[in-house]
Amino acid sequence: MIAHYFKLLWKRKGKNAFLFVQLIFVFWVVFGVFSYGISKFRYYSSPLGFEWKDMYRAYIDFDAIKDSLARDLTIKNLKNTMEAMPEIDRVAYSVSVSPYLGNTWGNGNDNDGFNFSTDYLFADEDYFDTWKVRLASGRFFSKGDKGSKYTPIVVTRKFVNDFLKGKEPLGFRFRFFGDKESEIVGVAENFKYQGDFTKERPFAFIPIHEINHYQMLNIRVQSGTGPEMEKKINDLIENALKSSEFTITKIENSRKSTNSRTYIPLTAMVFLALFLIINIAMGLFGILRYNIAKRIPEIGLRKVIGATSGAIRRQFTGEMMVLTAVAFLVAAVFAVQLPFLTTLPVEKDAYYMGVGLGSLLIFLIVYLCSLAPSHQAAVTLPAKALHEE
Amino acid sequence: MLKNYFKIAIKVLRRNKLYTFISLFGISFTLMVLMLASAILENELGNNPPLSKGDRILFLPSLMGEGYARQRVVEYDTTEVNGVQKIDSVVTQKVIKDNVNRSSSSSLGYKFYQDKIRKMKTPQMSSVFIDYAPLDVFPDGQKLSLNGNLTDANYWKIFDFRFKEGGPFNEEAVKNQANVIIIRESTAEKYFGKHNSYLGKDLIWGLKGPFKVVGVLKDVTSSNRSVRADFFVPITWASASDLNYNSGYMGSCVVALLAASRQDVPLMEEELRSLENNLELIDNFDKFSILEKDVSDIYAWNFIGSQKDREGKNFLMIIFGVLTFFLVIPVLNLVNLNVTRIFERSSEIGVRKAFGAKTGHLLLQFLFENLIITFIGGVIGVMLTLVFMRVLNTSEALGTAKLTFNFSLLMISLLITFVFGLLSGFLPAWRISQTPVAGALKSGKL
Repeated sequence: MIAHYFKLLWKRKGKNAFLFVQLIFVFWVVFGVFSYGISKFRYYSSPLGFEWKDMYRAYIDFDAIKDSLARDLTIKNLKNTMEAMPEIDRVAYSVSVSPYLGNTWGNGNDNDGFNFSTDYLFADEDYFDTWKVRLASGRFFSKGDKGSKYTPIVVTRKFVNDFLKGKEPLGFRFRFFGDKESEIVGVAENFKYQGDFTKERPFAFIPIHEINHYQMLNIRVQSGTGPEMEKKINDLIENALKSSEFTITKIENSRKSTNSRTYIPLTAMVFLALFLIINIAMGLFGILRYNIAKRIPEIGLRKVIGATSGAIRRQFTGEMMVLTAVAFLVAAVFAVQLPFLTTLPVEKDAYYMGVGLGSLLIFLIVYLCSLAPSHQAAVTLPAKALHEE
Repeated sequence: MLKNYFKIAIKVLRRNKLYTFISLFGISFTLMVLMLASAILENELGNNPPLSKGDRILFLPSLMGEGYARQRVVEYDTTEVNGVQKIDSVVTQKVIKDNVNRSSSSSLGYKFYQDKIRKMKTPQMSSVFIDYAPLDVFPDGQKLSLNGNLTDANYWKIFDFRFKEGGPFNEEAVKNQANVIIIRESTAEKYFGKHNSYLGKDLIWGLKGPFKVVGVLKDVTSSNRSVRADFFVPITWASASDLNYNSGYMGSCVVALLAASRQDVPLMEEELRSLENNLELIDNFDKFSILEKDVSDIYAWNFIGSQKDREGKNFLMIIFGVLTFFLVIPVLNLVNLNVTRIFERSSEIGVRKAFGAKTGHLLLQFLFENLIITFIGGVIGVMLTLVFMRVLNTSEALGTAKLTFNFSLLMISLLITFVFGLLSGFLPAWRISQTPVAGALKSGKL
């Protein structure tokens, strides 16, 4: 049966060539858009590991205070004054790495045979409560860790899965940098700090007193506080610092602009793909209708010989499906080889899923588009059809 | 004759509304996408104010220092002294070029500009500025985040901003650290509330105090980081740590070099190369590179490439590649639709041929018809483009860039429409004109 459809298509190859090429292109477009979309969606649905609502960050240039004693005092006092404010829940210091800020600090080595490569930041003991980072096991570091023999560090589950597979993470010691050994005291669930649409990377938190470099104030305010809060924080810091060398950012805004870098191109891509699909669907519909109108005598003849309406309908949808399937094969031959030729910007499984779902969509559209014209062909009365000839 | 073709084309369009709708939908949407893409590129890369001299400007956003790996080479030399073998060793450090194990890049230092760049011979003029100076203000209790640009006086000669009122500040104001500020119209409206004139008003910059408005700029549509600031003050207001980091080579400054003509731009690049080769090496670096970029490289840097690479040309290639790919599907669709529909008109062709119409005439006629439908689609496309520009501008999906429909864009759109019409019309028209007379007359119903 299919062989027969194929023969019919081949007989009309001149007329079907354009449709064929067009289908191949559309397959490629949907493969691309679907795999990109699927990969981004999967990133988006993986947990963040912290809460961005009601958060502010203030980037402060403490180095402008040259006297180190005065500087330490300002750093200490600023945090105390902040915590005393009733609208403020928690405050924590860190270096200038922050969720949605877009910068990274990375470190990796294979000292002592332990190979790792991770992002990290320095933070004080209140950081976890401030950002509401959830603990999977162990504990966060605390004030009491100051001066301990090993640097207590907290890593994420992703870190454990990537580098400590099958080992007990708690109490594991290695040299993070320098000669002082670090000890993992806790494992946090997640920390996907680069944006909602990004892939989670291994992460480590290290106590800030190890480097004594205070750059960023992370502030959690009570929920329900309005924009006047920013002015209050601003005045407070300006008072403590006696300068305006700092910037305050609401994390919500930072998140919005970080995420927009993904969803604006994604929306544009989906929009374009949708247009191409609509375009091809309408084109297909028009061409089919026309072709069928041209083949009325053929249909009439078949009916006279005894073909049922169902058989006619099956013939036309069948022809289209065979044509689409051949186009799919050609498109897929290239698509399957792509992962071996270059490094894809998406994961392999997301890519194959995109290829699968994209093809399904195209087959469905072609099927739907061929329904109405085939129906029109099927209900043609043989007498009328033959009369036209 | 053209009038006749036009009449026929309209008749054909009205004959079958479904096909006309399908064709017009495809044409107008495709043209809209192409027009929007050209609008964005024209806005960013075209020579519009304040970047009218854009093709003659080189930006120097960063300086990179690199240190090469070193290998300790120990050479032994044995000599016999009084019958005893004596080993003499010479330890040298071998520099392994191309093996960069240390690199640091940053914006340029103010001192570096004053001592080296300003003395360059090939640029007609140069300017130094710091294009990132965030400032939070609270005009009515609500936060307003502004970004400032700290500039010298030459800045206003290289970039031809359009002033709504007032004018730029001069060398004197820069030297004396005058409390003057030039502000963008929309920023002034947000900060001061809506007024007819903002000249002479004071903007309070934290503890630095009040700055008097001496100029109000019309809004800038480009997103180029060097010109998109909300306000501009003299560069002498920058803190010492922003101007120069410890060595004086690096800092937070960006430099713009203006060539006398486009042909001089490569000369400036050459002079930069010789300048970096003659730099005194500091901070244990073995090589310094000045990383210059032109307007298109700066724009491309938002999407691809790095501080080091100039990707402007590649970026344009990619964009054109993607657009061509995008164009292929609707063109194929339209060709396919047109080719299929030829036979609707075979009787007409048969008659015309029988009465002596030449193939060339027919080809021209059908091409013309296709151009007419493409132009109708083009007009709809322009309208759709205007609607989408509004949406993009108000939603700020493109960041600070603001799209406008101007004359050059209209010309580009016309060209695109024409090319699209020819592309999608040629094959069907050619096929139709080749139809043999007898067949056409026989199968057609008159």
